[in-house]
Amino acid sequence: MVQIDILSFLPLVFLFVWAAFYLPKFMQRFHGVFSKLLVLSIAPLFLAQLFMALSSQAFDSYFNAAHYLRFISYIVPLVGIVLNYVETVRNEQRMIAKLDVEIREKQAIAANLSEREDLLANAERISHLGSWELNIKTNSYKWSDELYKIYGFNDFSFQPTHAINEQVIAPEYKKKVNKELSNAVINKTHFAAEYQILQPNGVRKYVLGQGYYYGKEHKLIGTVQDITQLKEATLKLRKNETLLREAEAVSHNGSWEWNSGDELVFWSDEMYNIHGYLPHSVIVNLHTYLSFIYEDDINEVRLQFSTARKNRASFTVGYRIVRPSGEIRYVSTTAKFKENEVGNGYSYLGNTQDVTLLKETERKLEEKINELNVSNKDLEQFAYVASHDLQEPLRKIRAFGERLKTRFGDSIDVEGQDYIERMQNAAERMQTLIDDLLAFSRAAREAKHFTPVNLNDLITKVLADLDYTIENNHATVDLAIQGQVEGIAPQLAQVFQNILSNSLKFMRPNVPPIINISSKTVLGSTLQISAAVQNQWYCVIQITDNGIGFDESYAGKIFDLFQRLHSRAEYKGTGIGLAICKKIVDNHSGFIFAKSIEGEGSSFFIILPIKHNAIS
Amino acid sequence: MTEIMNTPIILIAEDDPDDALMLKDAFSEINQTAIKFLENGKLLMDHIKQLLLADQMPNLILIDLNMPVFDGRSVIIELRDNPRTKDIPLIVLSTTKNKDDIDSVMKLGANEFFTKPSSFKDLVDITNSITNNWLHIH
Repeated sequence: MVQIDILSFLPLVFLFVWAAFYLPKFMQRFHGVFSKLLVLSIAPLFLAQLFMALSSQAFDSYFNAAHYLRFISYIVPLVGIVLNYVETVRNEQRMIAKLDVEIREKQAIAANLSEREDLLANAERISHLGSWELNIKTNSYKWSDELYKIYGFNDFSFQPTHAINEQVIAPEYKKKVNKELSNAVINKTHFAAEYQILQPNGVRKYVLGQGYYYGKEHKLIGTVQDITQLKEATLKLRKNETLLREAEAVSHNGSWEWNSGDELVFWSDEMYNIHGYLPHSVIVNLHTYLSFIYEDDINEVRLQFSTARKNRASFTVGYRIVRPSGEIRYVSTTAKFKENEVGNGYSYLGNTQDVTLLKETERKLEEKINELNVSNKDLEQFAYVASHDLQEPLRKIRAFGERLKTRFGDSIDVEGQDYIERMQNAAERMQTLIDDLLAFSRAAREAKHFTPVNLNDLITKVLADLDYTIENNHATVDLAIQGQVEGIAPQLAQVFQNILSNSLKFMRPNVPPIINISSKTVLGSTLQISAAVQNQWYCVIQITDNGIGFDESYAGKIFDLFQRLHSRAEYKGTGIGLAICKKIVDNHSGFIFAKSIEGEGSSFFIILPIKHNAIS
Repeated sequence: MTEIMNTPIILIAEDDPDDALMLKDAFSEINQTAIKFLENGKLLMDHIKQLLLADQMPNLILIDLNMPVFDGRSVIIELRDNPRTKDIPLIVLSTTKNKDDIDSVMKLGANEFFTKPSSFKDLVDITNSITNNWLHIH
């Protein structure tokens, strides 16, 4: 009876378990000769164990060998387990080392990433460029710090929402921006839009929004750049450009530039207009430009330009151009030489003005001046005729009247004598009238030679001429005058002669005339005369008398031609004297006016600029 | 013959008959009656040429400036150009008061200038002064 001992089976079980669980692992890790040998070595062990387990007793001759094998069968798995364990530990250490390296690498990447993030933030700040992300599915926004700043928020911590995003865009741009964004989503494409944003403090900014639809994550990713400065500069530039263009068009003034290295000449729009072309409709270089010039003027232009280039100098040249229509226009070109900042090159910045109208006006003016000269000559001729031929009959009336009176006085009665007297007086008056009118027309036309005039000397001379009248009327003249003006001496003498004669003439009966002549120098701004030149010095000459004076309401009228305030029976005169004074003072760019109290006297003020040239 | 030699030859060129009459009256006031009136410069020059041919010389010439055919200036120029006549006293009597005109006439060689006066009395004074100053019998 075969006795089965459980204990005898234990090693077999042990071996079996080892072979089933550990051996494959072992083989997997050490798939060398050693493992194969180990597997092969198991086969006899397996048989021995099986045999010993079944027989439960030693079989003689093989018993020792069997025990030996049994011993080995314990050793082999044991060694296997130990080796397996050692190997596992070693693997673990290797894994740890590898992990360590990986962690370090990841740390380095992270550090790099944060550096890059800083760089990005800096870049965003410098370029005023913010970035954002919109997850369409969740409708959640992400803003970069710079975007908060651009939108005018100081607090970067709040979570942007759709509502805030809507609020930021200026109302009139909302529709446009939303359309761009939805287009980008629908067409899965890029978008770009310029619009205005409204900061919480009410400030408006121009921004450029750009981005694209990121389909994989169903997101919109974009940037917003603050372009306010650029935009404002651009707008200003455009405004200036428009202004310049309009100014050029209005003044028919075109500008151009040519660089010594360039083939083409740059022309402003007005240059084309001046030359009769639509802007940028023709190519302009130096050669074609010559073909625009009127044939007779080409050489002059060429000479001026080549001389200027040789001397590296600016130039101005006037010439005619021929428009495509055949019309000839006068232009004037001024060009400035400009050395290039680098290299030996240079450029000319030029300005060409259509001066046809100016030329035309000049020509017309010349014509008018000629006409005027002719008419002046006619007038002189007339004046001569007037002075000679009109006076002749009057002279004879007077002379023969006198003959009549002296030779036939005895045979003409008193009444007849009176008639003759009246006839002679009338003739004499007519002569005076003609003389005064001639003096007036001369004052208006005479050649004007301005020289320094010493007022004291001039008036002293005038008084000397009036000496007889002064003495006859027992007049007192107080002359307290100094200073010098630039004037036409004979004309100024005429002014004082006329006014002083008036003072002596319009005296009160039996009141000896007292005439005060004084002067002072004042600035135009103190004169209270709007036509006076504010910063010009004037000499104010005041002539005051104690004569009959006049009603001051006539003060303006007395300087009009033929204006008389008294009947001829009272005071002789033609009413031309003060008109002559006014004319002469006008010639001197001066002013004259009078003040008076009727019955007490009058004051005449003659205001003359010290320097004539400064005014004319 | 001696009477002729002693009578001064006074020539007056005056186109205006009124002025001629007045001058004639004025000269007669001072007892100068032998005066030859000529209507223009041309007639004056012709007359002087005839006198010169007859070896006679005018003692005094009075001229107007504005005359038809041959005016006063031309007379002055021609007389002053001729060595035989350049010393004859030559007085201009004109209507002009213009200083420039007077200066230019004096420059041409006139000896004196008078503006025709409006008064006969003044004219007599002028003729008196002319004869006193310029009428020397050769």
